[in-house]
Amino acid sequence: MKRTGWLWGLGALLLAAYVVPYTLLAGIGRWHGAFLFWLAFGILVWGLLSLVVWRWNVSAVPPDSGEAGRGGQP
Amino acid sequence: MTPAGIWIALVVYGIAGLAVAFWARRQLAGGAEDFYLGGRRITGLVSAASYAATTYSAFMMLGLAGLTYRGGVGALGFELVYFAGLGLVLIFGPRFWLVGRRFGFVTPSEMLGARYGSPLLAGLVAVLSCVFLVPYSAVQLMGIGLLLSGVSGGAIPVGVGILVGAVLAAAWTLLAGLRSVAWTDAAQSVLILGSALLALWFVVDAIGGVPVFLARVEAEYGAWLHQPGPGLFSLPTFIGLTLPWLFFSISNPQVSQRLFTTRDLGAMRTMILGFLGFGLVFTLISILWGYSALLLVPDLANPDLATPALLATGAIPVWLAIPLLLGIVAAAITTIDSIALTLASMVGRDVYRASVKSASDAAELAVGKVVILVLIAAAALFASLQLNLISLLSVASSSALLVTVPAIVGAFFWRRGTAAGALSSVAGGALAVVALGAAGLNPLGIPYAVVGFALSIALFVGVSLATTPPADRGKAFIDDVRPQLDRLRAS
Repeated sequence: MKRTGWLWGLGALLLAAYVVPYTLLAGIGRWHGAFLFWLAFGILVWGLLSLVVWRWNVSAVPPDSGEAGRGGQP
Repeated sequence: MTPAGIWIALVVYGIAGLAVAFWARRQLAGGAEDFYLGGRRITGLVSAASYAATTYSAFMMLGLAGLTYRGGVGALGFELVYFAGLGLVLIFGPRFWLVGRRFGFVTPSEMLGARYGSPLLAGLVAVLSCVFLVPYSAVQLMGIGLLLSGVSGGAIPVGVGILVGAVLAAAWTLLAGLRSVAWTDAAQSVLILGSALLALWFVVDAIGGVPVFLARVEAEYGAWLHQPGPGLFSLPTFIGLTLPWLFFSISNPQVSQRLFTTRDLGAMRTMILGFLGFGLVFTLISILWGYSALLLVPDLANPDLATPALLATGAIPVWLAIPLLLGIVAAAITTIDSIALTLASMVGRDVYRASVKSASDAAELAVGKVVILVLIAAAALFASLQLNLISLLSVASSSALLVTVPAIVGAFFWRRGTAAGALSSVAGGALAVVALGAAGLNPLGIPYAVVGFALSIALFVGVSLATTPPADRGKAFIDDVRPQLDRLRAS
């Protein structure tokens, strides 16, 4: 995945979260309507964000990173 | 639940919390950075639990359940949009952390002031945060008061409940700053989630089990399963409610300040992963809790009383009702104490220290501690007065804090952003939100939160382009963090 590719995925999910329940699923008074859709949305967001964070190479940025200028002004 | 039983539970809960807070105090090293940020050495699991407990207030089992009761499935979409907004922490978390370490920032407002070269901007954001978050804390205290009064049949007066919440929040904040807040938060997050999960199990069981629960909701409350449902969640309302929520993780200082506190980015990763799991589960519990209330205690005039009414049905055994009650009280207190700590750091640093140049670290800390007491006392006073104004400011709080987002985004992504642009964006946006919110105006049918946010973006961009940017054009925030961010994402 391109490093910022996940942002497009998240954006698409968010757009769908606003559009789909108010169009395709409007008026479906069943659990497999908007409830299931938003539940799937939540699980996909959870999976996507977890995957991105899991792939962070945290050991490449030790805690003392960039402390050289500590206390100064940017 | 007898009043005596509730009091015993509250005393045990208070003593346990104090024990954790005193234990955390042993690690206190001294100084403002240590008090407010735990010395930037908070571990991943404690960060995760504390971040979750701070974010999820009494709103979940009281307000969100009530919102489901009143408006149906839209409440799920509303809360999950906030959840998706955590994607912003993936973008801004490492950036906050890197510049925080490099320049020693303690508050998000201090960071903004330094980025744009404007102490006035830092002070303005600090003051606005107080204006909007103190009423939000007052509503939390009011929630504790109403809940304790409701379940005790009025034997515990609302005012006494408010006082209990205020005293505990103040004690856990003052004892060791973020260390005691984080550790008591972490301990309470287990209580919050565990008791809610068990209570939901018992309530669904009282309805007749999962299949009966599902079938009855579909048969009796079908409109509560689609949009716009029984009428609350029209699309403009949904957008107006969710937009501030989407940006909560960077607009609300009590959570964005946590991005300075983890001991390394591995701890931040654990914090995010832990929070994601907690958030998804707790959201589902609160929504299903609201549906259960529809079936067990229908036709309530005030949906916010769904939870006390459910507790009174006897569907939940007393041995569980007490921990659930404490879990909701804990959810409120963990939010109040974090807000008090963050606001105290902002006033101490960005208002007091910025205006008294010779002020020492010790003086800043002393002022902060007084501010903690004053803020919590003010929240308790507001709560006891039960003014309509509080509700208005509380509802407007997330919309108003949204106006800080353009300046925050610009700090890391737009070199042309200027102090004048940021100041006008924050001040103009906040004024618009408050004026429109107070007048109950949604211009052209557009929710006032959206109008305020759009104005804030327009002012930031327009005024920035018309003025001169800082000499280094944000080099430290944009160029200098780039190599480290590249290494972080190189897998």
